[in-house]
Amino acid sequence: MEASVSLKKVGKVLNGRSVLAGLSFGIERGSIMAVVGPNDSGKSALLKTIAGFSKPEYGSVFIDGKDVQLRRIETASVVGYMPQRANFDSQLTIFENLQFHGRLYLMAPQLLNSRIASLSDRLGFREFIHDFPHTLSSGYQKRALLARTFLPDPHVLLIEEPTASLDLRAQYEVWDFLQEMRGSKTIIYTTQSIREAERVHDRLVIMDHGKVALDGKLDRLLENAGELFHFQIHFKKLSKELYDNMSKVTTVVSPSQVGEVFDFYAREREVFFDIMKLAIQEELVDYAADKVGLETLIMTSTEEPIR
Amino acid sequence: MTLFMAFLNRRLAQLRHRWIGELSLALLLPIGIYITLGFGLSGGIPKLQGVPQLGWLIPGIVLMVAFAGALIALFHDLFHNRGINGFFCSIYASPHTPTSTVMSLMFSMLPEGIIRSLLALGILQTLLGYGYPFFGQLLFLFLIALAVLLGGMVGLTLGILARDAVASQIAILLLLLSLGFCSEWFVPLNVFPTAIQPLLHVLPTSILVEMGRDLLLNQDSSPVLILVVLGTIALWTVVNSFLFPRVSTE
Repeated sequence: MEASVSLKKVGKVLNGRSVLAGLSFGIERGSIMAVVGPNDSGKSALLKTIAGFSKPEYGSVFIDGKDVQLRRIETASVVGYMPQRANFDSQLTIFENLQFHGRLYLMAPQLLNSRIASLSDRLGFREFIHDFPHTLSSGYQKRALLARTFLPDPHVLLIEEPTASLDLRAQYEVWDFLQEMRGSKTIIYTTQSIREAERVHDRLVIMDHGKVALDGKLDRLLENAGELFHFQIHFKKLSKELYDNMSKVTTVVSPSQVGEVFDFYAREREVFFDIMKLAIQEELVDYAADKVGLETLIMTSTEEPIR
Repeated sequence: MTLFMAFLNRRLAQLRHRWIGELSLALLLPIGIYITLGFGLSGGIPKLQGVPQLGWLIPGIVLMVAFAGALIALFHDLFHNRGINGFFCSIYASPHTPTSTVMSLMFSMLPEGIIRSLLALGILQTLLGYGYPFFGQLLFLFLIALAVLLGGMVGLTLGILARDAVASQIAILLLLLSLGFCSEWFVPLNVFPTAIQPLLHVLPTSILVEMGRDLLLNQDSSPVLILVVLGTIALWTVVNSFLFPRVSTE
């Protein structure tokens, strides 16, 4: 399938720190890509760089084959960017904000007004449309922000944390709305919520320190991760010596100590018994063993924990 | 043109929501300045033939209203709506060049700036009890427009670069105060040391007010100097276009 957005060795440095480290990948037209990662992993920088208003230090971003830095006006007209926080003009009502945004994208007045009416209906904030942004709850601000992003009907959508600060019902409404766009719009969204990413995506990119740690469909990623198991053994007292001994077992992956709990991953179930042999003299409180899901996959792929 | 209309409609919508405050300010500000300066500085104002003495002061007050109105409005807009709010980031993300955005923003201030200044001119002439020649007032409109553009440019630059609200407001106050005196708006330039007078004469703001007095008080005019003002506005547009992308990178 044709790539709608493609990155070629894109690198960005902020305050001497690499926030994007030579990223290269393409995103298929009409697909939904979830970008997951902990804070400061480069998710936001990635979206801003694709949108064209954050200039990469090296490499290029192409939208429909056009370089976003060299042909910014052309690419900006097909891209919609939604920031994490509502950034309305506080001196205008939501309706006036939407009108101004439509005019920025040179929309005809009739089309603009009908789009505002249909989007405010669809996203459920029509009754508040003549209110000022600061008088609305963050959930309604978010809905209005989403409407503003979709207003000029862009075919590439870059959305930061689409459901952050929304209640559960509103989250479902927003995801339903985005699902409707599947196939017709290329949507790239960032999230820290693993459950959201699991639910809505054609492709999943897990970022860590500006790099792509994992990239693909969830089932494929889990398949590639092989039979990865997550174990937690709760001791009455976990000494440093015991922890060190258990961590040194070569088949133990990502060991860590949380209080008196020894937490680790392994590719085979048998590793658990190897560990138990080392701890045979110790008093156990409890233990747990799970096959990994996305959450644990991310935990083992990134250095920082995410929720 | 369409982008200009977008900004103009935005500005009109903003004014609609606080028209009482804006109108009160437009009516009271020129009267306040006139009374303060009229009482305080009447000793230093040149005497005119056939025109009340304070008639010399009015072109300066009107141009200051035009200049300061645009400066403060655009500074406030940029400073408030960039950074944490990030509204200007959404404008920068739209398919327009920084130059066209900067020019549209600046020109969107023209109608309100002109109306505000004309209102001031009308009020002050009533207070003075003297009417300037109609043709002179018509040409003076052009100078008012240039003062609005010049003030808008300064406001844009300060709004893009400012980091601290209080420090910026103090800086603006000092700037307006110093321009008010150094640009012959409130006092003639001959009160300054001879050495710096030529420098003050070529300030775009001084040129505007000198030409304004020439037009309204039927004095000799040197229209060539207007090129300095136009050049300054053009140059400042280039500088602001260069600075504008900063609104999106915070």
